[in-house]
Amino acid sequence: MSIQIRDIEAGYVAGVPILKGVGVTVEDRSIVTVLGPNGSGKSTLLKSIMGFVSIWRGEVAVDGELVTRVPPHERTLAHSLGYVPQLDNVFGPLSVHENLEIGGARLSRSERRARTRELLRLYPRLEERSRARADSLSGGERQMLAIARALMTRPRHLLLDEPSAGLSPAAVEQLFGMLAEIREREDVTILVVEQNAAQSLAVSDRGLVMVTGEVALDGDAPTLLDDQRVSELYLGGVPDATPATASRGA
Amino acid sequence: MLDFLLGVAVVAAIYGILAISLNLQAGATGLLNFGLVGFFGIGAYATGISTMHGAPWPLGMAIGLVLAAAAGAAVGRLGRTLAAEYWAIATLALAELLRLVALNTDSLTRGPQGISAVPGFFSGLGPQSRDLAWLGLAALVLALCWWVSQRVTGAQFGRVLRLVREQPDLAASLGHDVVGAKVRVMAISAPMAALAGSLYTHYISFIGPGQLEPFATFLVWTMVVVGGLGNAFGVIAGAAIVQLLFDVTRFIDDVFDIPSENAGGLRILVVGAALLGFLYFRSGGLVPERLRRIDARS
Ligand SMILES: Nc1ncnc2c1ncn2[C@@H]1O[C@H](COP(=O)(O)OP(=O)(O)O)[C@@H](O)[C@H]1O
Ligand SMILES: [Mg+2]
Repeated sequence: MSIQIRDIEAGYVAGVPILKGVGVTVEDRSIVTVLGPNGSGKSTLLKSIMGFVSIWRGEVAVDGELVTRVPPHERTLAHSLGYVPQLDNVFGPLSVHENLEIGGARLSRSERRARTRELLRLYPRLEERSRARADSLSGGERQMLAIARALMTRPRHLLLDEPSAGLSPAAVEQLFGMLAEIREREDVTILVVEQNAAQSLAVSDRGLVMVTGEVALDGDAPTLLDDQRVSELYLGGVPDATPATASRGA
Repeated sequence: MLDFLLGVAVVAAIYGILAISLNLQAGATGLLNFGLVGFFGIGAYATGISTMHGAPWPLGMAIGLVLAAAAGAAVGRLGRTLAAEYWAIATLALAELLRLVALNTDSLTRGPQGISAVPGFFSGLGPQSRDLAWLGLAALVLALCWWVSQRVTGAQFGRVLRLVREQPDLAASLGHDVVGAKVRVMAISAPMAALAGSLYTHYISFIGPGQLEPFATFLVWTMVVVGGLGNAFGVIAGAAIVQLLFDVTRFIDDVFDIPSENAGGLRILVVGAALLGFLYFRSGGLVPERLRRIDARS
């Protein structure tokens, strides 16, 4: 019960709910993939955990503690969260090294240095390019950097918003390998929004499909992989199943 | 001619202060303040009203600065509930509200007729040396504001502001208090605008609601865009250029034989054309922001 979202209604503008009664449970140390067509509220779901959108109903708990009252900038440390937003998630004019350091802004200087060195050792590709501007990196390297930066504070939960978007097939493969490896090494829980359904589910324990602000399907990754509705759904088809009829809570 | 240029320079320096203030907000922090003139008005009216009641000028000026800092912080806090676009509209609305208050509370502000005979500085000097002294004063205050602005944007805090501007959600996820940073920037920059308002009121010895029209904000925006959003030095150059342009076009009606009631509109058109031209052909402004230099320092 690492991250629990209980029946939340959330959105950006008062009176326009984007999430309409969403409930999601992400078990400790699991990887959960969120699928769904564009605009279905996947990013908003991650933002509701981080505190970037207003929650009007329901609650979000991390490790059993309610986070809703904690201001966004305190949540990362207070609830051990790491966040990688969709697109533009590195600071182009800054070097790889500086991007990592920014991730440790709230650490002590010595901790920040040590952790930066440690992550650069773990990702030799980044180390080679540590003095290069982040906007000179390839797409795959950028995502690696963004994820490494989120790891600076050693979060126990990692929220990733479409990390494989726009990557080459080889880079996509590498990215999912990286996620599986991070889970083992860092002992984290990962909630990842993805469009590459098959590859993401392959490294996940569970998956869910969102459609127009509701959870339409929720189940074991292998079950979802076999479910033909999944491919229809996340490509934008309308489900004939009523929301959340699949093996919920499996 | 020299008198004219001196006058332009004094007003340009005062507008330069406004441009520095707006640049801290819009350039460094991404706060789209369309109500800058409201803070100018707080300083101007604090000076006008205080001196009208016989208070010494430093008191009026100080009241303006304190009120503007408080108002700035309060407006910055609106960012907690309002998204950036709505915040921008709110600033415009608040400044208009202030103008309407100035227009309609006759007992306090003398309503539409405004407050005149505000004591000026350097009244012992002749007209030309007076303007020269004014230019020195305005330039000094401008330099001071520039220095403060460099301190704010150059330090560690400046990097946080850029994160807040480029990627507010990401900045928050990295542990930075986004709203807190905006509040601080507003509390530092709004008093600069008030200082400009106070100086301007002393310089022309008058403040009226007409000076709080949204056009003044638009003029400062043009200066900032022409100079280069995000670069304090460029923004001062932008203020000088746009102010000169704006004042030179004062003579449009003489040169081209245009009825003077149309000339006012034409001047605004010229400023608008400058704004559009820069947005279109050189959106970085004359002196674009040097992200690398400011950001890379750790
Ligand atoms: N900052 C925002 N302000 C207002 N509405 C937004 C904002 N971001 C997203 N939305 C709206 O919320 C809905 C869901 O968006 P999002 O969560 O980004 O979808 P997804 O990530 O599934 O593509 C969309 O209709 C989108 O228009
Ligand atoms: Mg999204």
